[in-house]
Amino acid sequence: MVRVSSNDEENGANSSQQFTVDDQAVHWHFDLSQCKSLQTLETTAESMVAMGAAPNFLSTVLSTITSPLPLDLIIVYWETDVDRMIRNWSKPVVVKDSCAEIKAANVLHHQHRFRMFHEMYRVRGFQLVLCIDVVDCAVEQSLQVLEGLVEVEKAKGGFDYLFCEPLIISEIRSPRTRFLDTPVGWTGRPELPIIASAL
Amino acid sequence: MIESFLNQPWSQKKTPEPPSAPRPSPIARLPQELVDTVISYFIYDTPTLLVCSVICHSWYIATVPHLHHSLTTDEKGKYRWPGPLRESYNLGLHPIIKRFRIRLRFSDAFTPKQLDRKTLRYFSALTNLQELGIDYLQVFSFMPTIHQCFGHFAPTLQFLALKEPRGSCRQILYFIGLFPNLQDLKLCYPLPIEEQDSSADTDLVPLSIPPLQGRLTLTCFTREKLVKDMISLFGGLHFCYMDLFRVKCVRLLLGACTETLEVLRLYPTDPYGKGFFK
Repeated sequence: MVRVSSNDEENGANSSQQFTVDDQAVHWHFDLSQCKSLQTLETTAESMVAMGAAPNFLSTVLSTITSPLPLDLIIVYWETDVDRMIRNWSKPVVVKDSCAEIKAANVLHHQHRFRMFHEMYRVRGFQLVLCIDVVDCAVEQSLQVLEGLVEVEKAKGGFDYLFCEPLIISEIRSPRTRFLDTPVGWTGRPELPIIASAL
Repeated sequence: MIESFLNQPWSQKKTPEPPSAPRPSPIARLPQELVDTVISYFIYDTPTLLVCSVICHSWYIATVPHLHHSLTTDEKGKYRWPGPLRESYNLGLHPIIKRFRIRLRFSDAFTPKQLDRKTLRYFSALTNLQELGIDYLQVFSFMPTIHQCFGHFAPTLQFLALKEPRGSCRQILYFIGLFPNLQDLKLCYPLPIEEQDSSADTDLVPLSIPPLQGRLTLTCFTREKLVKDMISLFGGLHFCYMDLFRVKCVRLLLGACTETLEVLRLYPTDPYGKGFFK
């Protein structure tokens, strides 16, 4: 139930809506039932477990998909999601010993995400794709971390419900390729002021 | 015996050869296509590219487009506008620059003041730009001659990223319509601010209808009217990829791209999914 008290009705002019129930708000706002060509749903690992994330957001969104096409669910991991810290963003270097607090938090976050994947899969089947999207110098280590996590989970039978194994991929990144494709102004992730190196 | 010793070839003094040009290294004689292929393996590895660029002329020619394809001006310091633009112009690099990002401080705006006669000359030399990002572009201050400042990007520009553009819906759409080959569009605001859209230039019609079939990224975007106008002026939307965070008109966008949308990026932290957004 979306409480449908739009200001249109009440005030006449403004068209913003008010919602009262989480899942219904998601359902109303992110209704993908008309998207006939949808093949991929993406989100970031960080936003799945961030403070303020709607708990059933992705499950609810998945439930609205009616396209019969096979669906990829891509989870994008950034540096801090895989225990990598970058010291200097203008000339990125991976900090060797990541903060213990971040590592500890990540352990919980990974478990939480794996549980969420299972819940989401009950709503709609998908190919799970874990995508490393980190600065060049952190790609190899980040892949190792993620592969390790997946191996442990597989050994526990945590992915038995999937129709095929999770795919791990990585984006090729360098600082200069990122400034136009990273959302600006809300992630807290710095944009990189890179300039042609010979200048 | 001494005589036989002296007759040995290694004991004989060589007559000095006449000075000649150094023989080119075999590496310099590789076909350019082969060099290009070798270099293509390192296009994301700047330190290696820098080493390759000093090997010989043909390697320099192959590496330089990968080293200098992006230019960014910074908010402050020595890379502040228009410093990098001037420097790269003086080095003759503008024809190979593919991406240009103009970063400004929040208190600044990108206006015609930033493009004085000299700077406009540097700016106009960016003739092969494919991606352009501008912070705080004050579209209205460029009207009605905005085409003179940005029109030279029209043949090549495919990606436009605007951070907090300032102007009415029609003015912004007119600006977007300057680029007939535009595929990707990104509009970002730091905060979702509900503001009354200016009604300036309501009769303004874009010069072209860009294909806009690539990626749409919207962040903290509340300008529903801009999307509605875009749909009506551009004859619908055809994006195949959308990345949406804190966007008020998601339903409108999804409805407009039902046939074309293949990839959608959403965020569970989106307040529109939490139910208490009013």
